[in-house]
Amino acid sequence: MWYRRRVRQLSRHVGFSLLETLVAIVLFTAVLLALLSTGQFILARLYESDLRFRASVYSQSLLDSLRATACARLTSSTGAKAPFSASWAVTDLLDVARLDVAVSGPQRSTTVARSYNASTLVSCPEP
Amino acid sequence: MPNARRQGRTLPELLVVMTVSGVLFALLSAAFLGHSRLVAGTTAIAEARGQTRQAQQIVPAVLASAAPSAADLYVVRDTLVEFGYAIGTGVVCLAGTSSQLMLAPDSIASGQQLASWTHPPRPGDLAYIYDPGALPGASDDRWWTAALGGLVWVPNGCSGSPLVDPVRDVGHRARAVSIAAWIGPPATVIPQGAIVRFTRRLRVLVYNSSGKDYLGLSDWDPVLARWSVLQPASGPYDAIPGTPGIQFRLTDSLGIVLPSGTSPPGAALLEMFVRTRSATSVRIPGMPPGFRAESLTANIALRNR
Repeated sequence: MWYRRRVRQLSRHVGFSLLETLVAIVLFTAVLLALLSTGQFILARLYESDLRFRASVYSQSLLDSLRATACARLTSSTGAKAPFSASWAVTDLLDVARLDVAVSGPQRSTTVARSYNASTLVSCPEP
Repeated sequence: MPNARRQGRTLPELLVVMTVSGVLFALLSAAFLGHSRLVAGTTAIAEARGQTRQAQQIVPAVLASAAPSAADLYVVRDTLVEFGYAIGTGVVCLAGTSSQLMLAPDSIASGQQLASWTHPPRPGDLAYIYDPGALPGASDDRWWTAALGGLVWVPNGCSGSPLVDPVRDVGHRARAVSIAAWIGPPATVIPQGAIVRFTRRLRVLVYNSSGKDYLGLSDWDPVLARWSVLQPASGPYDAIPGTPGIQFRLTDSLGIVLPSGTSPPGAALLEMFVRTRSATSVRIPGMPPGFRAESLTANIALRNR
């Protein structure tokens, strides 16, 4: 007897009601949509990574340009290359010149600034 | 009968479910499509940028040791840089003659490294031999330049040299290098302990294949008297008719652009322009559809000081 009563109880609970299924589908879809809406996040990371790379290339290029410049023409100054602005300083250390380059630019599509610095020493014998 | 009445759903219930499911399916399909386009687009952009980065890394790395002041830079054109690539350094263990020098073993028993190679030397490579002269200071220092002839291993070739231990380094192998020709005045005596720098003629070349530009490397084989098979290094780059995907330009220390061709010794900076384009049309929500072009300018200081 107890066995038949248990089977009846179980059979009443087998499967899901239409409403339950519908709620499950809606929840599942909501989660999937949330996962799929990470596009803007991915794009922001891609943009940020590109900005970082370009800023580092720009600062290195500036440093290399300074290294290739005749000592007599080395002066501190500023420059810009969209979306970055740069400044560089030349410090005379007797027979050596210290070159410091600072590049700043947006970190993301927002205007949060980030700076990139590079320095080196070059031989500039005193005349 | 009551059980039978409870089986199945009414038509309005089914319609509601089908409508809701349809709307959700449409939303999901649109999201999936947008996402797959985003993934394809970002991948195409990342690949194009990756090629830009490759060029920006490879060219400065191979050019790092080339010094125009030491006549290492041979030819620079808009799609070609030909120069002496540093393949290694060594030390002369015994005073040599104008026809042969004996190089100390790469390492000795004490663990000290006396030579370092990225590529082992071979006939035709150039050797720059540093002669510190007799006077203190750099007033009489100079570099002798020679083209290498044959190279042979000589057991105990540096015996008697203070660079090797007579007991612990017994059995060492030294490289005997014959001089095929002197570039410039010949050295009368090669001093013991002289530092030798070895270079090999290398080309960084932009070449076109199937309408796209690539960056390749090739070195000169003097024995076969021809350039080795071009090794692709990076690419593709965006080739526009008349304008290659990578271009080189030399300037001097005053920023004046030097004429294309044989490199003058005053070259100070190599400018590199790189242009890439995504391999496929990019359709990312929020961005104008089409091929994405990327460009980069990098300045590479040449070793002159």
